Amino acid sequence: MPEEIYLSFRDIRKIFPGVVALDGVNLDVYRGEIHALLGENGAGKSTLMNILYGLYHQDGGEIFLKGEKYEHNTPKNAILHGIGMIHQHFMLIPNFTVLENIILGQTSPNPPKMEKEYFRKEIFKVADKFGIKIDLDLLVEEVSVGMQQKIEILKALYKGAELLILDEPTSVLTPQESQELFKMLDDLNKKGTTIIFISHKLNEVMQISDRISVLRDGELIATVSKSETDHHELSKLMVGREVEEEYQKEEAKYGEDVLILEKISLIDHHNHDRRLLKEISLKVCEGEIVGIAGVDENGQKELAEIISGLRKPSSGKISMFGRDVTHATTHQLIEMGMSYIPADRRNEGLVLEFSVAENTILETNYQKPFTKGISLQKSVITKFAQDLVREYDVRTPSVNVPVRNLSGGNQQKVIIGREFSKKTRFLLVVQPTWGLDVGAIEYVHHKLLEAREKGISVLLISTDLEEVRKLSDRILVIYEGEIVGQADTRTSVSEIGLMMAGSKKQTVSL
Amino acid sequence: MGLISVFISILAIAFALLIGAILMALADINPWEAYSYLLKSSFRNRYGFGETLTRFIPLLFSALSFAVAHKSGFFNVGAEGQLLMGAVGAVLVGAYLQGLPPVLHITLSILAGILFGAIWAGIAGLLKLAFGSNELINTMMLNYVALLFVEFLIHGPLKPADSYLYVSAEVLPSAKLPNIFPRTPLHLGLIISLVVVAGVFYLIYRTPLGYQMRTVGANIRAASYAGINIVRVTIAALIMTGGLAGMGGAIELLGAQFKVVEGFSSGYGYDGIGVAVMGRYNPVGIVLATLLFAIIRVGTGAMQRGAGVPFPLLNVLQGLIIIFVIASGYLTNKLTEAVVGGRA
Ligand SMILES: Nc1ncnc2c1ncn2[C@@H]1O[C@H](COP(=O)(O)OP(=O)(O)OP(=O)(O)O)[C@@H](O)[C@H]1O
Ligand SMILES: [Mg+2]
Repeated sequence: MPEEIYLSFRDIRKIFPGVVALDGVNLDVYRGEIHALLGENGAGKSTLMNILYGLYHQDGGEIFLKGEKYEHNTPKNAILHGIGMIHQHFMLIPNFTVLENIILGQTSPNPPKMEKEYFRKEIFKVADKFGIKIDLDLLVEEVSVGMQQKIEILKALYKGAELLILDEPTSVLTPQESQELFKMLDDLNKKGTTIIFISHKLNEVMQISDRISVLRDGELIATVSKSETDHHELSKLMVGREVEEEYQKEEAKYGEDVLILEKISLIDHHNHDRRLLKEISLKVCEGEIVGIAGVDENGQKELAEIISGLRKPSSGKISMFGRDVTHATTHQLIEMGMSYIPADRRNEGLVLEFSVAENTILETNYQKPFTKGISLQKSVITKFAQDLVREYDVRTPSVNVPVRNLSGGNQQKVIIGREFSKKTRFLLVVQPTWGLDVGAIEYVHHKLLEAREKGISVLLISTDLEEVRKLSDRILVIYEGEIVGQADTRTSVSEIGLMMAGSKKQTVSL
Repeated sequence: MGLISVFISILAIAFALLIGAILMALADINPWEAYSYLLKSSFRNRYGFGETLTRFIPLLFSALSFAVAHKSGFFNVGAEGQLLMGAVGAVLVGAYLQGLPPVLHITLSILAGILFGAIWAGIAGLLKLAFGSNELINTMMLNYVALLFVEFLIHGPLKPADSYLYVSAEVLPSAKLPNIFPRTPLHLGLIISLVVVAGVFYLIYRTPLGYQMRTVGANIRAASYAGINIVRVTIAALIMTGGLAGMGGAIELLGAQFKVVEGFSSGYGYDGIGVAVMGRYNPVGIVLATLLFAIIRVGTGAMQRGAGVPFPLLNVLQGLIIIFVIASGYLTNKLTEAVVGGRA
């Protein structure tokens, strides 16, 4: 059967002040396929989809939908034409129920009454057709992130979406949730929904898509079908060169102990019988990377907050460089040489409204040379930021644009650059490569290994087991707030996986 | 973009005035006549001009006070009370401390005003830090407390024995701010206020403390992750926001009114909120918006007397201008977004 072209982009151009985000993109999407969009950070994937959905307007080129020219792209029109988009940051109202969220903005058949029961039936019909099971009466704030995503998808389907766009849908999900999502997408696809899927993870792309398009620097490099390609080719297409699969690591040169945690526990404020962390003891030396592996929400966040001084443990002791820092403030720890790359860059690592330059001095603003006397030295800061942008390959038109305008990966590079350009002796990194493209991941990994070679001690907390295995000298596995196992690079993935699932415990000593 | 935004603001004001005109016409008032009174009272003669610039001064301080708080991430709607307390502080020093040379006396009186205003804002801040209670409510409530407290003072402790009016003692000549525009009430406070505007915005945009205040205001979590001492920065911001309002009260006292009386402030603190929002929290915008409000303040009296515009209608007019300018700000954003593309 010849493929029917459902959607095509013809020669799409988009220019932001100082950047050509899309430079003549031609792309066809077939009806009923799962089409993946791959590309480096800042390649223009989100921009292309935002144009289709009507959040931006193209500066040139045309879109054809089902053979007809699609003009006046606005979100409203997109919904009318059966296009649904799931943003990376969900647009749900937390203290509304699922039902209320889905019918938000719908016109009641019988105003001014809400007619919730009418909608409930209508939504059930849709949910039933696609085999989605969701309790419509739960409050959105009570459900998991994975569930919220399902709600967003159901909402789009209810509004009549035939084409679903998902922008990095798995970056907020645990691996299990990702698999559930894929199953759901697969089901939808079988029932005729066309899907465009943006991701950086080659495994995922290879798992679920039919065809794959690669964008680079705003240009469409290639569209290939899954059966004719592999990881290797894809990463080469994306980055324009080979990407290393394994890193050459020198033997660790263990030095002095840098960070020691002794029996750190944390009691839940709301429920005193629950311990979020249970007697965690660990040690990180100079020149080694200790990885903490685990499924998300098993205490990693709390552990990082305690080590960085943002939260106090209920019991236990922490020392850094031989000093008791159990009660030290974040500021004191930073002054002692701690650098921290937090998990949530948009809320914890950056001030989105601030310019790139302003974001590079978040911790050091009061120090020389950024401040002289009582005044910030604008030209020094600009120069510093420009150097940082160059060295860390941050794609931005200038250091004066708000960091909000940068693509996700480039935002992370700003944080990494900032933290690496300080005099660091201890590095705490949480999910450092979340949302980054393969080239950028490789880059960050190299930087971490470089730090290790320089004798810096690194504590890496990540839910990406591959990442932890590639980088760490020692691996600790966290499960329900407890260190349940210890491993090294020789331990098999399946064994670590079992520990992460909590079904295999060992006693761990320092 | 700056020029577009100024242009759109002017358009918005014109629009508000137009609606005001329609309302007046409906109330059988000749809008042309009313508006001519509005402008005449500020620009026709020397006195009116000086009077307008005198009203400008306390208004500017309370607008600055609100803007500083806003940049640091909290709502201080208590400038009215802080301004009153500032006047109380200034009168204590200005009226009772004798034998000081003028420069020193004025300086000390102003400092007392700053201190009292800062303490008044600090109470609201401490309540927030200690109990997490909402600063909007705290500062608002403290306005009433300040108002009643001032009334108590001028009925008792601060009332001179020989006076049968309910007023405080008058500040001594050595504490009075000199006039700078003869045959009008305009005093040195104008120059001081303009220097303070420059200083405040320098502090906010060009010093590490200001940077940290803005960081706390824009993203408190990122600020704590960066090791910024939130409590310290917030206290600094509170001192500034309260101190500025208090300074406004002190200068109004030392330059214009000389005594604390009932109705000393007549809503400068509240108007400052509208001015700051209208001025988009930037120095030039705030100065222009303050000027506009001062003109309206001086002009409304004449509109009322001359053209018989009822007072509530004048309030409506002022409200319309604020709403339209704010709405036009939103429009400007949309426009620039449409031109250069925003980010979802
Ligand atoms: N609103 C905006 N203003 C200015 N520049 C923008 C804006 N939105 C995107 N850009 C720029 O356009 C380019 C493409 O960005 P886009 O967000 O489409 O990248 P992406 O492929 O989705 O990257 P990522 O994988 O990091 O999310 C980047 O250089 C980005 O900085
Ligand atoms: Mg993107």
